[in-house]
Amino acid sequence: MKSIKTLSEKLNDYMVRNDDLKISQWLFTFGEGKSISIGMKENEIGGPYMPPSSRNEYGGSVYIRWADGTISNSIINSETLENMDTTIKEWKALSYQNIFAPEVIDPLPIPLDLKIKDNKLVEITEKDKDYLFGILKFYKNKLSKKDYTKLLTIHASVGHEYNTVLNSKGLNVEWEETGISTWVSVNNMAGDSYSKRKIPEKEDLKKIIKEIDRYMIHSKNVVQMKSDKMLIILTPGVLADFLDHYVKNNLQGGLVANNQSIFRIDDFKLKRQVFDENISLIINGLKDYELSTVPCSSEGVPSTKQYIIADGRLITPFLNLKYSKKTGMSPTSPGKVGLEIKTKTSYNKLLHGIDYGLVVYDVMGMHTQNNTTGEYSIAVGQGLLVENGEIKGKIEKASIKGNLFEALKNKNTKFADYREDEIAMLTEADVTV
Amino acid sequence: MVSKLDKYTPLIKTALDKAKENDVYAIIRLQDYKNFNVDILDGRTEYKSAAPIKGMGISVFTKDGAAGFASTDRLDEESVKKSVDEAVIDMAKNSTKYEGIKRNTEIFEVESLNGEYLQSTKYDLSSKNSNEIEEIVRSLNKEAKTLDDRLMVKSSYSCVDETWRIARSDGTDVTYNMPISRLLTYLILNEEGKIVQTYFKVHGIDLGVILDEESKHVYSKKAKHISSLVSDLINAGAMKGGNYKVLLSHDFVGLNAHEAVGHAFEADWMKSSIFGLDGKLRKGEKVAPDNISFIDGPLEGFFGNQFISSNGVKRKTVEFIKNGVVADALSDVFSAKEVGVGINGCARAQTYANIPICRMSVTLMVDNNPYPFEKTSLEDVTLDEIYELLVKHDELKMGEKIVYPVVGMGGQVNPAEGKFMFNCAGIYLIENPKKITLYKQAVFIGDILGAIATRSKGIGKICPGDTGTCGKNGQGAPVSDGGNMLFIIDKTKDITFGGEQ
Repeated sequence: MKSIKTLSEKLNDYMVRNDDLKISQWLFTFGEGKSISIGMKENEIGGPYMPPSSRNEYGGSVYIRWADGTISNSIINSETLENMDTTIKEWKALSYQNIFAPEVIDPLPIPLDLKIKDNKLVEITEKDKDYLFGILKFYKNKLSKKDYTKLLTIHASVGHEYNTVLNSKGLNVEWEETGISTWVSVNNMAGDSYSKRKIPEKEDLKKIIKEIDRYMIHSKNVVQMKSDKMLIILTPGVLADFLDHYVKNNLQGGLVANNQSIFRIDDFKLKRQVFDENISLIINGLKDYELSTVPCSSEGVPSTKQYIIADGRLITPFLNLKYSKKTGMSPTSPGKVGLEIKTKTSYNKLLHGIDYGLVVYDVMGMHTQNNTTGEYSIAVGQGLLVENGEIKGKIEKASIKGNLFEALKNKNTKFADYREDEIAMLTEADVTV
Repeated sequence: MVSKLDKYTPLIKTALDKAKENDVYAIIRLQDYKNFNVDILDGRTEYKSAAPIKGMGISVFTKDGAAGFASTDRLDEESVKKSVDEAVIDMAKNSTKYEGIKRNTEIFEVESLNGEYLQSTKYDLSSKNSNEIEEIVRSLNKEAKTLDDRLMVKSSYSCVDETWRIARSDGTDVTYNMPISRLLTYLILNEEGKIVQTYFKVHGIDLGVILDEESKHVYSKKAKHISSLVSDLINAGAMKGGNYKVLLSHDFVGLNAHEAVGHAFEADWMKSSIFGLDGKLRKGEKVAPDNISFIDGPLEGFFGNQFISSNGVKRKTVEFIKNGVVADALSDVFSAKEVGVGINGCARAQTYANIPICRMSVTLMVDNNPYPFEKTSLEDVTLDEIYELLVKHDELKMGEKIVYPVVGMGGQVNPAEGKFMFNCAGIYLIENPKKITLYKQAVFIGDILGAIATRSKGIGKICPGDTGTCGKNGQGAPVSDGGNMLFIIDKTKDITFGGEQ
């Protein structure tokens, strides 16, 4: 793209100046793309709140190390490129000192053969305006006839984008990516989604219907439950929310390096056992057609597959270049982060092992929880009561209280394959109704 | 006064002309957003940035009301013309071949509006350079740190200068701004394997938040109060879950107004809301005690205030529950008629690339006849004094338990099922003026209809409450809330505190 060449040439010009605008290093990311979307809100397609839409995006971010030792962070938009000299002065005015500000990195081997683009999605984004309506029609036909469906809300979008990461040390990575995302919600109670870099097969969409069925067939049978300490199952979406909020947040390099995490940097250096040895957490930056798969991070760190927690032991926090410098550990790969469990059981076995408990399909207010301790006290948005291993019906309201870190240490915590690549967890919690 | 968006007049004309050529009605939204952020951790600058955003969103409506939308962040003639074509031809007109397309022609009936509706700020964002702002935030950070050296103190300051220009095919051309400014201070105590983290905020609409003496005084009082709370929370236990009589500070009163009640009055959710019946507002139904009203609307100087909707309509003050009775909804052009209320101009969009939806701005829970209370700040009063005041007004019997949550951590609502939740950093159980125990965070969950029908009584004047970013349909909007300085709510099965069993 011409604009990228112009910007990099301009930044190089500032590297040979002899005034306070002299740049010693630069790094920028730039993306240009288009996405289209369509929705059905409460049984009606389109309309003022979910119209068919087209969005064009053009811009990126910039990091500059000035010759005087200060650094600047800002963003690039179309006007940046029109008024570069003025903008560079504005960037300098924002500069600040930080002793851990990283150097930009030398180019490293980047995996450029990743499966991150589907030509069919390029065609849909650019030309085929009808494909997304077809998805809406599929869901509508399948779900509107179900006796539990009152209000059906559906969203579908596709996108196609060119991305670039460049720095003053010669890093120059360009790639083209696509994405598709579609979700369905029934009666504002149950929902499911598909988000990948490739077009879904019919089977992928059918799985969404099956998952909604799994919850909604019990939705009309509202049952009372009692407050007690009991076994609960966190279904994959809920478990992912818990892991994101408590585990992944505490593994953020910035929090670890600044002593704001439950984990300390020495814990990683000593590979401290923090969870049961059954549990590992892995970044897979190479996985085919995952939305989070890209060739490199926005700083040029190559994608790879690496453990964050292996057999319950801390290996590394998530580290960008700044916190890599501060901790003295290597920067980590971008990519999808998921659980790897050595010993799992079947979901039915997990369910049948509960005498009196709760299957949690949705929680409300995860963002309100203090993530540093692992302690949770949270409302159940959607849950099903289990008695003697069988689902009895939908509960009206409940809160669950426990400690996720303790649960992940506990040998009695069990995991099960729920669907492909999706894990459910059984643990004990205080339930108040 | 010359608006900074005046230079885009030819581009707006291009977009409107192109829409006319395509025989559609258009709403053009131009956004100019500038923010400045600085994070200071224990006196050291962790991060400083500015993120200018500019772009145009184009909503179009065919004559029979089919809608389409396109956006671009390239503000040149070619890109704008291309976006209008995409909105019209690829999106709106293409969709009409599908059965079941929603059509809405209400925008054609709305009166046009022209002018500038700008909130006046005392300080322009450019009146201090970034280094000066950084140093002021650093000095405030150090002030909090000196209160307890064990604490890690992180100060995140953010100031936003945001201006919108909305133009429509009917000649509407209106400009408004939405300045916000907030200093969020996190206090973290990490010792002996235990971590407690909580925060306090000072907020407003400009740099006055960190420059004005009055604001700095509020900051100092909050810093002392919260640093002491963090220290106490490190060894706090868990409260027993169940139902309790509740005393809410104005922060929580506001959170209650926003989460538990306000969302369920957003007109674009009325089909599924518990305050709707077949899509219409349940107007006239008694749902709360006579003394209680809930109000949302523009309040100049308040965080999150917006005078004009994202569709170019004046935002009205909406008393959605008046003296305990359902009275109105947070409606916009497209939802008002369907819901059965007037157009209240409540549409907001986070960015030019978002579709406007019905949102709150500044939301209050008000007792029409509260107990008088001479204090102006809760930092100036102790819990035992409040307890005795409640006993004096026969709201409590001496020895009766009441819980008092502190530091709102936000909440969430499901308007369709009538469920809400809030969380707090800590909660006091007051058994009598001499027996007050602090417990760690406890979620409280409730049934909206049952909770607002419960007897409640306000104490003191209306005070600003919490500020934050409200999330809905993937969009964030700056909002604030408030209410009487204190509210006491009777014990009910419809408000339950989570805790140990």
